[in-house]
Amino acid sequence: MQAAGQGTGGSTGDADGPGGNAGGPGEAGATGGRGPRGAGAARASGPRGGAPRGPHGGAASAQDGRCPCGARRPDSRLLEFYLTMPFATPMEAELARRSLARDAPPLPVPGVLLKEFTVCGNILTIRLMAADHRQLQLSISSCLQQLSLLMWITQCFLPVFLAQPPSGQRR
Amino acid sequence: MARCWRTRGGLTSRLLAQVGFLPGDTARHHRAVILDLLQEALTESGLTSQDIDCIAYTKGPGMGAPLVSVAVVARTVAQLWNKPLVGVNHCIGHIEMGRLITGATSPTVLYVSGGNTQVIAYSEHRYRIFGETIDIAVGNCLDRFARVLKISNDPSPGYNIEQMAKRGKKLVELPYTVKGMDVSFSGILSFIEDVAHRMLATGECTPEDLCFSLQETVFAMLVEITERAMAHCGSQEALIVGGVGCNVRLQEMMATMCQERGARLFATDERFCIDNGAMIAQAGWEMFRAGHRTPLSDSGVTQRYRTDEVEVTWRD
Repeated sequence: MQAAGQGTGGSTGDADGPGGNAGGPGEAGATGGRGPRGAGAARASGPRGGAPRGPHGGAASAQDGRCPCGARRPDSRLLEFYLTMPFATPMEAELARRSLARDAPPLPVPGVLLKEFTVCGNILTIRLMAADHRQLQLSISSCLQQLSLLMWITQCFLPVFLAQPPSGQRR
Repeated sequence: MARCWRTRGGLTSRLLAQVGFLPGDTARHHRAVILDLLQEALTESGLTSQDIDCIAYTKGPGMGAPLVSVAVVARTVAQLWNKPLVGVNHCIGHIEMGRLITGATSPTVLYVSGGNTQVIAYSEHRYRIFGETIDIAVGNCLDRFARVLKISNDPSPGYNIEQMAKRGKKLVELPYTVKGMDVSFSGILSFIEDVAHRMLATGECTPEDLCFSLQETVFAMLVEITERAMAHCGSQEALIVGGVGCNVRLQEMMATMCQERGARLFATDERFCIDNGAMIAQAGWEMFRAGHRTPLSDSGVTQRYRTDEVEVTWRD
């Protein structure tokens, strides 16, 4: 587990930028820069107020780029879990993202889980957010099980896939 | 693929043993067996990934967690093998397998299972729902009735109810609820939950009598709405699909109705009545040949996926 606040930092936008105490200790996603890195780095954060922060320090966004927090009450709590998974190649990371991201809810609803899957190079980052700790726990468990299944399938069939001659356009 | 699936059937009674199929347990089961099943199917058929034309999977309806587990595998394999995806409606899988196995051309379909109860007929490129349950499925009613009477789940509650019903001698009057083209089973279940123990304790009837009475009542309701749909459509064929379709008494009652109408009844055995992967493959094959493809962006599962949402382009 990578401690919160030890993110790569760097980019414009302060982790403690406008919007409240989103950048305090133990606050994942408040790195102000790129998301957490390192093999299998995973972080979870406790409740925090204000608008949640994305990997770049700006307001967290849903997969369609909209901020999910516009209507949140000032005293609302948001729980967040980050997981980064390195793959051997960017292609495999993208394959994993495509397989896992399809069943995430398209738009966040207050109190309902938000799932976000992003790829940077050969790193898959999974971000789960919920207003309820039990919901987050269930989602973490489910997500890890699906990731495990995907890894299992990939390990079984990827050697065959790599052995095949190039066959044109990939999905 | 159907044969591979059947060898996993022993897990069914274990999953059902407690309180029915729970999404988490079912998903866990699917995750545990799917890779072995996939490899077994390829090995047994003598095929490789290059011989596969498309990857068909269940897009819905059903329980979310199991659907997602299998969809993740389907998407992964489709990408690895560079094959198109075809998302299949579970109900249409039953219908297409029933048509294939029985040879029925354009039947009125009675789809009865633990999760669904619908009367369906094909019209203008859609499987139209003529009637359905307005609350619980008939299989769900039977399963919960079995729990009330503490009837064993091995091999399945419905099967055990059917065997006990054969020994029933007395018809107990139970609520009969048909509302136009639709049926309702929650009332009959509530009634039995209220009175069963009292009636058994007083010796008014036996568990076998209750099994017999429940079957006669709910199956008569299903026969009524099926006949109404057949009369509406002018149909001369009826097809029973779904797990409850294995019930021989239901088949007998439907056969009697069809005979009286000069129609023909089609039904399959437990290999194809009960949920199976082959039916998804069959429907997927029909869809694939007709040009259906499910892009990855649209491959999410749908817990509520109506039978009539699918455009049936593979039929005239």
